[in-house]
Amino acid sequence: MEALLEYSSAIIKNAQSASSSTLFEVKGFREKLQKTWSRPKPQGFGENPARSKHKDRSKSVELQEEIDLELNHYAKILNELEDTKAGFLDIAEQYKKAREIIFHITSLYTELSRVYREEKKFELASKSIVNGEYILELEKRLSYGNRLNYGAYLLIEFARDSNDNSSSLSETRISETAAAYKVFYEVLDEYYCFLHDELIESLYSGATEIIKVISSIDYFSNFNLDRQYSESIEALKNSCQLIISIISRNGFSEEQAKIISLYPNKETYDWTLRQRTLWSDSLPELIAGYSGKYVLFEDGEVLDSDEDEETLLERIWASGYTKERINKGVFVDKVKGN
Amino acid sequence: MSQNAPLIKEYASFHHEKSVPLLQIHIGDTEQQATKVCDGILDTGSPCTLVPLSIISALNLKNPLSCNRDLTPKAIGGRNISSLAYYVRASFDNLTFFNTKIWACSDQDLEGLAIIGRNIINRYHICFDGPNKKFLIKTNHFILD
Repeated sequence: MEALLEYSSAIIKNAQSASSSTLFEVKGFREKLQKTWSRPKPQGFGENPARSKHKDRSKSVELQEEIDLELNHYAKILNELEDTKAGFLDIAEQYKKAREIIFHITSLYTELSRVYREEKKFELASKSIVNGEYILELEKRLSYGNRLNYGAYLLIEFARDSNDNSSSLSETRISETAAAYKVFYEVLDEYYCFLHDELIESLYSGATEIIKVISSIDYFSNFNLDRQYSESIEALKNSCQLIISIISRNGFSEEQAKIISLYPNKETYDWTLRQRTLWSDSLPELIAGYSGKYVLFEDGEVLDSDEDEETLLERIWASGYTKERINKGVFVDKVKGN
Repeated sequence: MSQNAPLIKEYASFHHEKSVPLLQIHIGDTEQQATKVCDGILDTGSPCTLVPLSIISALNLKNPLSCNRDLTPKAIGGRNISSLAYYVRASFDNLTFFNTKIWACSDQDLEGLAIIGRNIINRYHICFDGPNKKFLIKTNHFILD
């Protein structure tokens, strides 16, 4: 079970890298914010502060300062999470604090947006909403680090127990292992794109190893196995199989994997996704110029259009547009009306 | 027979379970280099034509018709299935071809059969003879004496 300890350390490493990459983002975000702060103009000599026009504006500055303080506090916690050698429960406590700060910052941004709207500074108001959403995204990133840590903690307990005891899957710890692998499956399912290759490989070989061990258990000679133990074994097997299948699909859902298999290759699928993003970005111009028409679209530009799809397709293929097109599709869609 | 009479081809094949007209459809790339044939059922209830992915893969088509969302048409039984459009040439008789858009779907979803929808059916005069389980297709191809 030494391998399990290795997996656990790879998992903890990945959880820590979640904190450090979040810390990096927070620092960058804070610097950017400080540059764009709308600070009140310094008051001139003899000016009566009570008559200052900046009474409302100072509310937004106050909020900005509070956000900055909270971001600083958040960064400190992330720093501790990165360096800490504390036990799991202390780490979990830090994550909890970090989450509370994030929710506080989000509510401050909502308040800031309201203040800006009252001042009719609509651009700043929407910017505040965007910033609040960005901060919530950071929370998600940290959340997977927290969950990985929890899974790794359960696994380490199991691995230690297995070292003390020669049996391959001890009854006392099997439910923790099942819980750990359920956590790993959920993290893989939700945050696949954030995870390091090293961690993904560790989880894959860990799950394969566990399935091997489970398959070798002779249930018939262990008829005294209690129900809870059998259920935990089943749950563990199930999570391991889900981990293997999700990694085999490169993190895509079954539905996505099926759609990708319809494309000539993954590059053509990626090209299509890029065009979809560009299509969404160009929608106002598309609606203004081509409402109700089918258009041939590529890299933000309309190359041809027609009211009839068949006529347009016939023209595209006759024009030679499709010749020598490698790893690309032909993006044709109808621009919906207003 | 007159030289200008259109060919009327008689089919006497119905799907053994679904009791719907069954015939072969030829699918090729628009470059006219390769053609594959597969069994298909005529489905007037379907606006588009679905073709098993194995046929499309064998033709080695490189440029699918992408659009702004993944389309999941309903197959027989009302189940939504994943699909991707391709532009191909098609024919019932391997003589008269036309270009059209079809949707590639997994062989498993289509049970290996093409579903020939109205985008193709509406190009022809088709006469159904239900009691005798026959149907006639009039093509634009002219018979030479």
